[in-house]
Amino acid sequence: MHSYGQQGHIVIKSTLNRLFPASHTPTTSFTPLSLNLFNDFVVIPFVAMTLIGEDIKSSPEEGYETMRRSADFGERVFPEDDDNSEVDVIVADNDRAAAREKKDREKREMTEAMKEVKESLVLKVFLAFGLPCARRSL
Amino acid sequence: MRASQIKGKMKATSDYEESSNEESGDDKTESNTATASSSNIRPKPRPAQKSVAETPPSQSKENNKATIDDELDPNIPVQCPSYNCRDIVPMQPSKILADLFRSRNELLQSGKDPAKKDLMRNEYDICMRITAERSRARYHALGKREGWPVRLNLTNLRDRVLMMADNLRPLYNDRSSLDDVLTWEYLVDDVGDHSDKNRAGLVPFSKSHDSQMNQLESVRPG
Repeated sequence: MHSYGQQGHIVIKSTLNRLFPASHTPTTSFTPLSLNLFNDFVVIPFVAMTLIGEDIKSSPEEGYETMRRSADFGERVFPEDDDNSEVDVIVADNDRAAAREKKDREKREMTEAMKEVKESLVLKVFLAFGLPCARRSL
Repeated sequence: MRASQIKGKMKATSDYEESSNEESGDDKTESNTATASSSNIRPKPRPAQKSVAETPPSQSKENNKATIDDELDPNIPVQCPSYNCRDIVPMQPSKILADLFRSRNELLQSGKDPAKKDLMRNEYDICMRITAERSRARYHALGKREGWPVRLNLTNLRDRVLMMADNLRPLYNDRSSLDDVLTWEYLVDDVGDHSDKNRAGLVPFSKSHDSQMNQLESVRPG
């Protein structure tokens, strides 16, 4: 197998942004790098070498060597400014999925917050008026 | 007339293919070699040619050369239109290159002075694009030699990354899991090699690396 070039870089990065959005990903473990830099210099090459290793049915380390050896090839043969519209489709798809997941996450968080508020309210009613009233407020 | 054009184009292509077998080398030198026999005059864009669709089916079957016409766009010249550049336009130019040639034709037809900035800019873009696509063809040959596929299944790549999610999560959440990651190790080594003052504890890491980090923002590895 070979380096995935700029097209592969864009697809991997877009997918990582979908899986680990900046709004919900802590950066403490790799400070002072930003999430963007961490992805560019650590995670994306790590993903690429692992996948290339799988492609050549070998170890990720061998995959890294192959990736390095074919870096120029990947850059020239799979450039960013290519006619390949599949990249745009995948990026748009990832963006849509990320937006959907963000909405779901916000909805979940809102539901949990409401549940907490309700529970604390029930507790207050119980303390103030006793069990029967608290049951009725549920 | 038409037969000679096809012949000329085929010669140019075979010359190009010969030069494309060389793995490395300057594009300009190669193109000069490829067109050594051609005249120094910048060629005019090819005149419109009859497509196969216009010829009777029986005729097109008889003459296999006519199928070459299918690939030839009459708006695309054989040679790079830039001044003093003799690069041969790839046989199958990309859509981007074809669009650049279309823009050039529009600029020429608009009656503007050829020395105008728009046209110069356009020709420069065409020249760069031709160089990139010629080099790309060379790397295709290299890929074939090495057994590297020249097409990517990007959807499959996306799906495989999604399947790695559980393995990747610790990298973002757990500092100790990074110790086993080769790319992290290389990055730390690389930064360490360029930060003697930092290693001596003279400058806090985050401050001393601000400028480096800013530079890194504009770089895309992989």
